[in-house]
Amino acid sequence: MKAKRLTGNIIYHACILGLGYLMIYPVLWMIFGSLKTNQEILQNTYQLLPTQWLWENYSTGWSGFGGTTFATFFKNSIVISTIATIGTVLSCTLIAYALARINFKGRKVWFNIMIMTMLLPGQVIMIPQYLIYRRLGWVGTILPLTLIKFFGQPFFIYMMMQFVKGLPRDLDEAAAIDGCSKYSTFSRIILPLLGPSIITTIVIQFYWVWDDFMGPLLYLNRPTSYTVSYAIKLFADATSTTAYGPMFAMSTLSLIPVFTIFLIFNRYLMDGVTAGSIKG
Amino acid sequence: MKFKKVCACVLAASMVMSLAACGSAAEETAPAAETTAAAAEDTADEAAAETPAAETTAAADESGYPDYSGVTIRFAWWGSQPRHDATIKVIEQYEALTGLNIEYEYYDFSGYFTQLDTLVAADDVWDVFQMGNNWATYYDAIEPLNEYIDGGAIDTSNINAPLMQVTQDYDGNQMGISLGTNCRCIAYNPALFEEAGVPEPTDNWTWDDFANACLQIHEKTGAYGMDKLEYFTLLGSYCTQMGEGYNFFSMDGSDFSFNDDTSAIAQMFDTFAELEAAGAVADPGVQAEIVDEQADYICTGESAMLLIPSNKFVALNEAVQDGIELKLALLPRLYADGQSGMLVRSSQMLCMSAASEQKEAAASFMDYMINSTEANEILNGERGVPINTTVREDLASKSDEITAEVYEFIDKVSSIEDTANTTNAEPDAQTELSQVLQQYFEAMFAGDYASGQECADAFYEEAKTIFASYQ
Amino acid sequence: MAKTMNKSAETSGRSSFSKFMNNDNTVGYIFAAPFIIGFLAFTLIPMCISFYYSFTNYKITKAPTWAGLNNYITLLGDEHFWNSIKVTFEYVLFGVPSKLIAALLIAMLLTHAKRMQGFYRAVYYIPSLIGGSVAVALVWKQMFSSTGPIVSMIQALGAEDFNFFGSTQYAFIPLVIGNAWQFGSSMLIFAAGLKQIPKDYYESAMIDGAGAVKRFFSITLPCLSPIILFNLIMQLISGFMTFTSAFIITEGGPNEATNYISLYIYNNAFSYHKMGYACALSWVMLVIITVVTLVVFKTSNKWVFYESEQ
Repeated sequence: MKAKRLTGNIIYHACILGLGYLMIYPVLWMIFGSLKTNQEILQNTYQLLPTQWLWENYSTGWSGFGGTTFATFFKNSIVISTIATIGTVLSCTLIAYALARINFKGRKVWFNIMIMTMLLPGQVIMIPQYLIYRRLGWVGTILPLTLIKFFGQPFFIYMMMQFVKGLPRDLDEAAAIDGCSKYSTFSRIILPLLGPSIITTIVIQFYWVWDDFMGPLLYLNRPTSYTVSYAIKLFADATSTTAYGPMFAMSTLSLIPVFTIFLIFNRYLMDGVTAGSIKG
Repeated sequence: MKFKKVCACVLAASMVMSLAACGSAAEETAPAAETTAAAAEDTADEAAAETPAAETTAAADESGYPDYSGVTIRFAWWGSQPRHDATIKVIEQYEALTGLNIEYEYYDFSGYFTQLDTLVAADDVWDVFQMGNNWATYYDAIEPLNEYIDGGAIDTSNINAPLMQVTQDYDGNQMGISLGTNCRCIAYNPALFEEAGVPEPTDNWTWDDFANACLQIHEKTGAYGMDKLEYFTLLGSYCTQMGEGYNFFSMDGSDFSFNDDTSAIAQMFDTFAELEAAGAVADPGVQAEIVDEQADYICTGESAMLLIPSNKFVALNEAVQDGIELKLALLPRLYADGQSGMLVRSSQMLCMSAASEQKEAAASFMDYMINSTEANEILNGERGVPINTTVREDLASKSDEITAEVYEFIDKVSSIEDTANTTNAEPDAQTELSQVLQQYFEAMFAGDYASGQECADAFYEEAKTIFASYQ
Repeated sequence: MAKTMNKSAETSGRSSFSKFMNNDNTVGYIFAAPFIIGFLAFTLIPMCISFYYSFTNYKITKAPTWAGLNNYITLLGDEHFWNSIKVTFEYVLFGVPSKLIAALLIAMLLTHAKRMQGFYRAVYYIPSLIGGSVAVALVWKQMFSSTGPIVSMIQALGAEDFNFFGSTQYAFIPLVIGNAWQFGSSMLIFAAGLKQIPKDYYESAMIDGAGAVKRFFSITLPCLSPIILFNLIMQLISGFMTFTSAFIITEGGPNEATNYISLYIYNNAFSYHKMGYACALSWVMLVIITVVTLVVFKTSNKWVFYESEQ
């Protein structure tokens, strides 16, 4: 019985690891590519390990462009992603509570509007939006990338709504009987139970903002305020020569902050760290 | 649990006040994200705008450079790391010489044009900006340079007239000034030609010779004759080569210019469909897999030819595997004694914004980029062969063998007489036409058309509709 | 400030101010205020402007001129547009279910691994972090290229001359797989949803002797249904808007087989500078997605269970 269970376990772990290897192969390829020459990256594609470990790619890449190094770009990215993520969590929990739990007039209408704002491709509202930010004097600052997140983002609002709706209503009713207002019901009952969805929001939003390059491209028009995601694109150009090695090197480094955020918060999504505290 | 408490506290405290709280948080960090280098952009702009015009035309100091202290211009370009580094160096040099403050921005190719579009919509284009041959699209945003050339702000005495014409519109408006010239050419691997027993390209080889070479090379060596095809260049060449006065677009870009005669286009579709069917040129799938020149099969000796802009020849040589040597050839002709259809063109140019408030300073900086030997030694012809004769000679004398080959090739092309008949115009319909042309090629390869003529006529029908939609 | 307000609400619950503050309408609008303000200030106006553009001939480089219904009429006869609708639907049909199933399966699988769960989840999540980078485009092209391992395998099975990127029929497959490969965010959301299912549900089911399969269908699926609905809606929307992979990997080819509607809109807006037409295309696309989303919402009444509504 015990042996059978052990073999079962081994098969299970072997399968997950095997599939996992397939999953991260492209990532490994990029990481090892950061130590190869252009020629090896492009013409010797099925070899994973570099024949010669070219660590210079990291120093070449890090030196950035004309004296602005990746230290600056990383600093910019961290500032923007952090503020934007905080803004998203703060606003989306509030808005989601209202739309999921409070029976106010116009709730359905606002919900539908929110869904609808996700249905227009960003490309066609980009220019009008740019003109508004420009009139506000926000172009050239990080405000269009950060402040705007404090007004909620439909994806996360809707996600949190679904989690709020998953919480039994008895909780609210019990709180009301105890004399809790809606405000304290939110902060004392609902919010603490939203832990998993808040963490999910933090992890996902941080890397979405981190990876976004359209926003930085349009609004941060000064090389010293570029973000990592955009700076990486500056290695590639169709009309001249692309330096793949340094580009992969910086892409690899760019994974570290987002992966760290994931590692820090992932513990909270697993069993045992926070007890599933809902009693139905 | 601790995390939850922190969350709850933060949220409770800022629940109603969230807007105000966040606003100030964002404002506090905003300056931190910018560097100490300069004041916020808006104020810099205002400062520039307020500078009296008289100051901008300040007297030259003893070094011969004007004094632009206190003046700010904005300058943007696209490119990759070496270009960014070199251009920034030149900017800093010029700032040191004249006191001009140049706020620069650099982008990747597609990012650059997205940003340019947005700035055009906002009427806030950079004072000086890099442009390709698609300037017709941005015509209204560009300030013609004639006035500054006549006034002497931009010195063209060392530039041959034809090289100025490459960035003029049909009416002679100098829309910009070329940062370097190039031309389309075929890079080929002579070893594969030899192995297959086909003669190497001559200066007046024809498309039939080309097709024959592709088929022979593929049959004898298994390599592609040419793997990646640049469809729109093929189209332009075929049309131009039909005879004097023929072009795909007319010289002023206002119409087609091949007398509704689609026979050459039909011949093009037929030739390449035959080559594709034989495997002598790569099928669309393989073409899509090739990410750039450095990954092309020509680098591994598995393809004999590649159509490239001449300024990429140096990079291509660095990318090929050891032992492979490449040479340059002219594009094939329709008739051995007919037109070449070749043209020296601007690879990139500098334009001045029509909305610029510092045109004098902008012109002076452009002059430096084009005419200064020091500047060009740093830029090193990376954008193409410089147009200033002195600069060009200086660079040519210091260049290696391969770069010298490119210089010679450009000289050869400029000496071909019929280049004056070839249009440089890229009307704003070109991008869409080019996209649609690729679809017709792929449909032709897939066997959707019985003959090249059928395909050519269908393409021309759609091309007319598209062209009309831009008028 | 919020704290003092709460206190006053608790202590003097009868004052009319506190009654006003605790009225559902007041509470609702206070909590929803960030969204409403943001929408009115930054989204509504651009949306209206793009709607206006859709009735104009706007080339970005020149001021818009009124064109009436011209753009919409052109669109009806535009073969490229109809083709893009067709291939987009095809993409959504294959792409959305494959991504959702992969995400749910892995999320469930990983909740079982007691020891290595964190590590495994990290491994499966990393691909989602690198986004639509150049490196992904490169490796994807190579894995599915005509000389790559996957095609070699298919060719060994007898399909000579097979390749993905040259085939109008199969070119979308690498894109669908690439999309499913980056299931990390959906997986995380599923994982958070699984975690929210009260443990005692499972415990009492075990006591009743329910097997793993029964527990999955009678507890996991119903409890997770709001999250499934969410992921479904979001993936539908992002499926209809799919852009990056087609933009960097296939560029819409071959022969328009992956010229998805978003890509077509992008090309019209920024490559061809037909912003007016791009806006018209977008609004038509909005109507299409709205209809699909509505259908899903309507059917969701039948299969989504909210704890709060029981």
